[in-house]
Amino acid sequence: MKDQEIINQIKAGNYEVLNELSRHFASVRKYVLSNSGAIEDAEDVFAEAQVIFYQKVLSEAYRYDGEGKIGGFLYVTAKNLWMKKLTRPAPMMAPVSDTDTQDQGDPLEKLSEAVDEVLRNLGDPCASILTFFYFNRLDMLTIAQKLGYKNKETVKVKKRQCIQTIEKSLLPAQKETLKEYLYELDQRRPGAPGSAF
Amino acid sequence: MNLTNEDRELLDRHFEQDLTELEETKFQQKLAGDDEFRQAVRLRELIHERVQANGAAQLKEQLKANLAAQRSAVEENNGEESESNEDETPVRPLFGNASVTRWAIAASLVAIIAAGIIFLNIRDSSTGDGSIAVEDTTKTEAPVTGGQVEAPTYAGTDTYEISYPITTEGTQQIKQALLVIDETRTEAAYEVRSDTLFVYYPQDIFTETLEVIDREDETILRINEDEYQIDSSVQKLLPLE
Repeated sequence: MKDQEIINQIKAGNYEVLNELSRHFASVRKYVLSNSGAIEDAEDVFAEAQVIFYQKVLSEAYRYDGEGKIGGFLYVTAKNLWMKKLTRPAPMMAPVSDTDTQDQGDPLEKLSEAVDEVLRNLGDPCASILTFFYFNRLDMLTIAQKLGYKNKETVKVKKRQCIQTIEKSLLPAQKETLKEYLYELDQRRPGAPGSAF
Repeated sequence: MNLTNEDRELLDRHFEQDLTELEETKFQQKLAGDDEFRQAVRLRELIHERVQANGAAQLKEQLKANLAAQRSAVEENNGEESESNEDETPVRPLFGNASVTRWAIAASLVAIIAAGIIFLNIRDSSTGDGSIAVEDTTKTEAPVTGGQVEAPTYAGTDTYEISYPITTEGTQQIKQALLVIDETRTEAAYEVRSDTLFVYYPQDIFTETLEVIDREDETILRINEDEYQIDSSVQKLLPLE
């Protein structure tokens, strides 16, 4: 399959076409194996490079530059990912002290974990709808077709209900903490009052 | 976080990129002046980010599983075949932990046949000094029996050669064949003679990867990151400037 066709397929919502790219794996495997890695490491960075490529195509950040360039993009991306992993310092064991036990951790990280937990327990169809919409960037009509809904309006309503379910799941248990975290998060966002951005 | 229905509608439609210019202005005003609203927006942004991050992680796992499955299939195939042929001389491993037996080569040939390769010749040649020997030996067609192809006879030599005609129609066949070779984790060397692309494997490797690229009026062979023009008139690969 030609590069242009792969890009078109991705934009049309067919992410399975990414498996076509495994034909470019050999060079990455060779590189990682010759640089202190195992085959699993090669598979890991190659898969990650495929995801990066996928996201770039969807966000129009990947510029089609003639046939045969995707392989090079994947090779360079995977190579950089592997280099980064190799040079990343090993995590240091933090010394345990009494004051550390009071540390509540990074608010944003904690809130992200809480959201992840809710998402994990969300189940279908919410999980599919949200993933299709926000990750795969499919339009409502395509999602309706994929999930067997009557029309795009049904998906839109369903999606809003799913978001509300997530928000409600977060709110009761952590109302105060959530406010604190959101304030922290707000301060880090560009354009926030008093933020450094 | 107590949002009115109107605020919630505004929020939903903002993230669906469905607001009019006027509504967007209203959204920005609320964002600047209403703490509750702003927190609701931040929470929504975070939910989107986490959905995206989880989607990416999920996709990565799927892709990894696919790569691992391809590897397992090859290893399983190699393992089974070598078990049933223990008394025969194995082709030596190429690199790392990927051992390639001659039956893996046979498997690749089966796949090539299945993919519709019409023309396929196999012969073996030997190299003593690591260079690729190109001998004008008589070629024999791979025997085909009931849709299967017999494994090439391993005669203790180091290099097998497969040849493909380079024609416009043949390009797809070359791609398929190279893909199959790649999946068996066999690396190959290449040379063009006359109008035929010769692929040598699995010994004395001088290439890492290759890719056949169709451009408007020409076919490009990329080896590693170097590109070559397949020029049958001068019987070799010409480096592209």
